[in-house]
Order: sequence, then structure tokens, then C-alpha cells
Amino acid sequence: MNNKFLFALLFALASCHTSFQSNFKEGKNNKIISDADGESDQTITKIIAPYKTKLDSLMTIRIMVADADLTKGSPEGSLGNMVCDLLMRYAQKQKMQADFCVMNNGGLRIPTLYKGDVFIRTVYELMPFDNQLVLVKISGAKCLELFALIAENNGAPVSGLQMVIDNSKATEIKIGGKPFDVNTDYWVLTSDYLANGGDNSGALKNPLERIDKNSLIRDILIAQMREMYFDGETLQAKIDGRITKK
Amino acid sequence: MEESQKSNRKQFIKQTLYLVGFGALANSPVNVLAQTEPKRLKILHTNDWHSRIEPFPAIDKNYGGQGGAAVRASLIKKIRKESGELLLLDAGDIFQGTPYFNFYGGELEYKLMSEMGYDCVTLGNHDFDGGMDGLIKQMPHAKFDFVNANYDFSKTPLQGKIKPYKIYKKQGLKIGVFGLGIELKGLVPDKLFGNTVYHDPIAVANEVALMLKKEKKCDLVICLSHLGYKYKNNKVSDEVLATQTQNIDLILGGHTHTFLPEPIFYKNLINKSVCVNQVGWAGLQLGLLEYTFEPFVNTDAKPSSRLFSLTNTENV
Repeated sequence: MNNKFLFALLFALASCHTSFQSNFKEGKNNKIISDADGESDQTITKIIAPYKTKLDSLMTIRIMVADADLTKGSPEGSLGNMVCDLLMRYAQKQKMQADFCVMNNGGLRIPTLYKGDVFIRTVYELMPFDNQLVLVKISGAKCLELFALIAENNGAPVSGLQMVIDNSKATEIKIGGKPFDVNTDYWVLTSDYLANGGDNSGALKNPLERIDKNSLIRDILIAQMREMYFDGETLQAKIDGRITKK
Repeated sequence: MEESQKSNRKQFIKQTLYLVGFGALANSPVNVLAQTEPKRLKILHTNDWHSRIEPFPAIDKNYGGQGGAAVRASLIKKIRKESGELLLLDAGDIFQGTPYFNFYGGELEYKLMSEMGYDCVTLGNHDFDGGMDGLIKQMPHAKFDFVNANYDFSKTPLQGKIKPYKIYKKQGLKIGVFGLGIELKGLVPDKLFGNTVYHDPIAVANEVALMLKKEKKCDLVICLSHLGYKYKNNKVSDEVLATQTQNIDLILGGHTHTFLPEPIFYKNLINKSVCVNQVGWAGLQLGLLEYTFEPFVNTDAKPSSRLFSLTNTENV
């Protein structure tokens, strides 16, 4: 009998506590919005200041203007289209024999490049990884593997390549406007990340030939945008049916 | 097992009764009260910060004005003031995502987390983006521990710099924290992780958690995981980890940038509760879990939870 009594007493003592009190506003799902208390910690702000000042002087340089929002999308998106188109233009200028360009949506790290000024910072946020530009020559058969992967993934950022995804299969494939020929080898412009087999892109690995440009894709995009802007061009949100779904 | 715990408890109460006696209980209730006061521990956590030092710019349609290290730090300070000792943890991918990382290599991220008083972090795949040498270069700026138990670094320059687990003593409790990382092959360029060997997270977790719980007698075993919350296929994830292991109380996750509105409770291999939580990414939220350890009550420790959205109201 005493056991029970003592246990109840101990339990009562143990349960007797005040619940956690906070100044933060409580919302649904236990979610507390700190809107009333969102002040900055001054020590932190002071630590950041010298880094921010130096960075801002570099990052806030305007290099381009976008006429509309450019967005990531499937099977094609205006953001991925722009990136690949710019890389193809760069390749042509450099006399690189690229037949088509393919990148991965995972490598584009902002969902939207907003209408208006494009700063160096914007391109850093779009493409923070230090990926380099690579040109690989692969067989028609390997190309088919790559196209199958693109179709399975419901599209990818491309340029110089057209296809219709029919039931997760790549059909009506065209390269540079001409029908794809499985007996031809093609030069593919891409990132070293994909050329090394990243994102399951094994088809690009172990190519017939590989040329490493040793330039960061981000730096190429910045240079390309600057040049275009200097020539009076702006960025368009282009969706031209390069990859469509049946 | 539960039966033996119950009889242990009865035994313990009998002994207590015998030692204290009713006279003593009546004469000094304060002492008894002191002995039976529940122990409380707050755990604050973040994941996938991705170098978001500053709040998102106002132009950002999704997160304009949200996040930022300065607001997070002030909130952490406030909670510390209210509750004293706590655990502050991060589940990886501190690096990569803004020019701060490209230009300073993670130095500022580590400095700020040290100032906020982080205790322990695990490694995400993007923490390898500056290579292992890049990571080592920034480590002097980190006044917190790095844990990972399923990467074998013995043939890499990280040898000895990452501990499999770490034990913390806070609020009179012993807390074991270990880390698990995602398979790097195919996700991170080979040259960046070099000879790091990946081991099966489930097997490693069972081994380490058992040791922390039984041998080291930790009151709470926490796994900092960068495996990801869950996948459509049966790839190893926090969900798989929670259900296929034992001796883990809490899994704080990352990688999939999952905004869980509240922690999810799973039943582990032996039908005990495991709490899983993840708070999105980019330092947009801070998770808070509070454990209450009632003396003599040997039940599953289930925490209460709070979630803070971090918004800088000054700049908006």
C-alpha cells in the first residue's frame, strides 16, 4: 500500500513543473513565428561586416538585364534553356565543335532568375558549384542512353537538341535541326560533373574523346552575359518546344 | 525487457522508501523535492544552411527577408537566457550556395556558428565542395565538434579530425551524439572526397547507438544524419534508419531540405519511439525539442517541439 502512495507522491512532485515560457508567438502545428522578435544580433552583424563589404563591391556589379522571369522547369524551362544557349554560343565563338549541350536541373540552384537587373551575385547563386566546361565525343548508341535518361527524368536543360518525350521514352530526336543518326558520333558540351558520371549520366563517362576547357561554367556565363549586354542584348524567357511531352 | 524495468523500478522505490523513511520525508520535503525535480534539456537544431549568411534578398518571392545568421543568433541567445545549458546541433551542408562560400571557403560560416555556440555538427556532401583540404583549412575557425561514424577517413587527411561520436553533459544529463553521412560516390566529384570509405549507415548506427546507450550509459542518443528524410525508392533515409535500428532516441536530419511542420515519431526495431526532425534549409527555421526526464519514470522519452521561422523584421 505504501509503495503505491509513495509512487503517486513522487510522480506528483515530478509532474509539478511550469511549462516552457517564451516571448515568441505561437501558431499552428507548434509553429512559432518570430516576427515580433526578429532583431539582429550585433556581434554577428559585426563579424559579417568586413566580409560583406568586400563581397558586395564585387557582387553588385550589373552584367545583364532579364526581360522576364526565367524559371527552372520540366520538360524544359526558360532558365535551363538560357544557360545552355549561352554555353553553345560561347562554344561557337571558341570554335569548339559542339553538336548539342546538356546540363542538369540539379546544377541550377535558384528556381527563378527574376526580371530586371542581373548581377554577378545572381550568376553565383544560379551556379555556385565550381563546375567546369567539358566537351565529350560519344557514339550514337551512348547518345541514345543519354536521351533515355533525359526522357526518364522528364527533361533536362539542353540546347541544339530537340526531342519529344512519349511515355518516358525519347522520340523524334533532332540534333542541330537534323534527325539524330545512331551511326554518328556526336560532340556534347556539358559540365565536368556530368562528364564524370554525376547524376547517373554514365553515358557521358569514358567518351571517345574529351576536351577539358578548364574554365568555370559560372565565369563563362558571366563573361558571355557581359558581352551580350554590351552589344545591347537582354535575356529573354525562351520556351521553344525543344523538349515536349506527348 | 519492460517487465524487468518495471521490477527494477519497484526495487528502486523500495530501497528509496527504506533509506528515506517516512519521518525523513516529513521533515525535509525540500530534499526529496530536489531529488525528484525532472531534468529538462532543450535541443536546438538546423540543417542545410548552405552559406546563407544574410537573409534572402527582398526581391525573392519565396523567402524575401527571411533567414540570416544575425536573427538566428539573437533567438538562440534569448532561448539560452531562458533555459541555460542546451545543445545546439547542425546536420550538415553548412557550405555552398552563396558567394560567401566561393570567396571565403566557409571561414565565415564556421566563425558565426562558433559565436552562436554550436556544440556539434555532422558533414553533408556539400561540406566536401572545397575538398578535404578546404575543410581542414576552415576547421581552426570552428569551436565545435565534427561527428561522423560511417565514413572511414583513415586513409585521408581528415584522419583524426572527425570523431564518430561525442558525449555531452548538459543539465545533469549525458547525451551521446553521433553522425551519419550519405554515400558520396556519384554525388560528390571523386577527387573531393578522395579515399574516404563509405559504410552502411544502418549497421554502423546500431553499433554506435548500442555502445552509447549501454556501455557509455547515455540518457539520450542523438543521430545527426545527412542521409535525407525519405525517398520514393528504398534508399537509406532517416525513415529507414528510424525503423531499422534501436537505441537511437532522436534523428536530426538534413539533405532533402524537408520542411517538417512538426517532428515525426516512428517505432524502432523493438517498438520504442524514435523522433525524427528536419527544418528545411538555408537557415530559414530553427527547430527546438525539449526533453523532460521524469525521475523514476522509465517510459519512452518523447520531446515537446517548437519551430521558429526566422524573419528579419528590421530590413523588410
